[in-house]
Amino acid sequence: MAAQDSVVQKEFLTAGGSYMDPPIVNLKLAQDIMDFCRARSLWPVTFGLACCAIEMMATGMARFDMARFGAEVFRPSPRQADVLIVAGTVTKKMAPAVVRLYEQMPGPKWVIAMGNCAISGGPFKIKDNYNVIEGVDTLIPVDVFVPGCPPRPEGLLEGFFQLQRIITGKRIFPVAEEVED
Amino acid sequence: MLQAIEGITTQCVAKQEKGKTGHAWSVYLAPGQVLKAAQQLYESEYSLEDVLVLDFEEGFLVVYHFNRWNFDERVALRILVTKDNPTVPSISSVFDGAVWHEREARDFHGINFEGNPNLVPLLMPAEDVDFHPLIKAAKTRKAIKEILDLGEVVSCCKEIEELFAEAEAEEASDA
Repeated sequence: MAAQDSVVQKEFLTAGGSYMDPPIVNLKLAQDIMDFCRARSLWPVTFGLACCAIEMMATGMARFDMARFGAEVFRPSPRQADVLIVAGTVTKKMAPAVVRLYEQMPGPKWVIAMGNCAISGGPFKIKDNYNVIEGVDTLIPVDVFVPGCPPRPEGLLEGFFQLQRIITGKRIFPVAEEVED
Repeated sequence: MLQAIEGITTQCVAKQEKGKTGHAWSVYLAPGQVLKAAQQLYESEYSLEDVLVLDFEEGFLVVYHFNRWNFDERVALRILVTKDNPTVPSISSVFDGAVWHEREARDFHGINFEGNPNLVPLLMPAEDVDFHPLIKAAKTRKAIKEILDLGEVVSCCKEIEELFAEAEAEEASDA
């Protein structure tokens, strides 16, 4: 994992954050194989909060087809999932539910903050804001930020590639070539 | 004249330009009259559209919109309450649906609807029970006459006329 990927541990609403104890017996090869498999079978939670969720759905559908990259199985229960895509505006009232979902996920688990609202409050980060959480990373630890309002499905896919890079330490899928007109 | 509110002591009844305001009648009431007016509107087959609050220099203006399905005649009941004691009787005993409208109005402006069976935060988090986000800062507040039109007056008491007095004088000088 590259140095710039390290996250400074900070106070979250969740107890203990996402950090797992290191394995008692750490076999490098076995760990690498596990990570390899995990990165290619990410199971996101079916969880959308606002318009970003529409793009998330599009990413799962045939045109963009997340299944090509191993992240196809949207699970209806957080207990079966390992990626939480926070797709949309997190309001103050929704915040406890987001944290609860996150805490119900078994580790190892990762979070993608999708869209400007989830990253920083986006268009709701104004002086008179009284109900929107300004950044979901104030609640739960976020691994990948996908900016956009909303991000295009390609953006979310790129977010998944980054997540796979975080898990395995290297990028699995090649960077798309630029298309010439 | 609006038949449905006959026999109710109003502060002001005015016909409104529908294209401009969206409703046919504007009725100003004292807080004590609203329950009776709601009852009569209910009996005349009006339905409650919404309850909203406007924050003016003169106080909070609680507005109830009523409409009828078979006849397009929107009525706006308007009640001006003071900032110190913003209390209005609840109309939830007449229109059950008003419970949520009134809770929302309480959330955002802190209006106390007396008689509402469950006046707890609806849209705001439970811990923000004393925080009313839509109350304006004194600087951004406006007078009623800057926002609303009195319309074509049928009957009007002095107090309400005074609220709009200056605006009409200004209009006259423009012409």
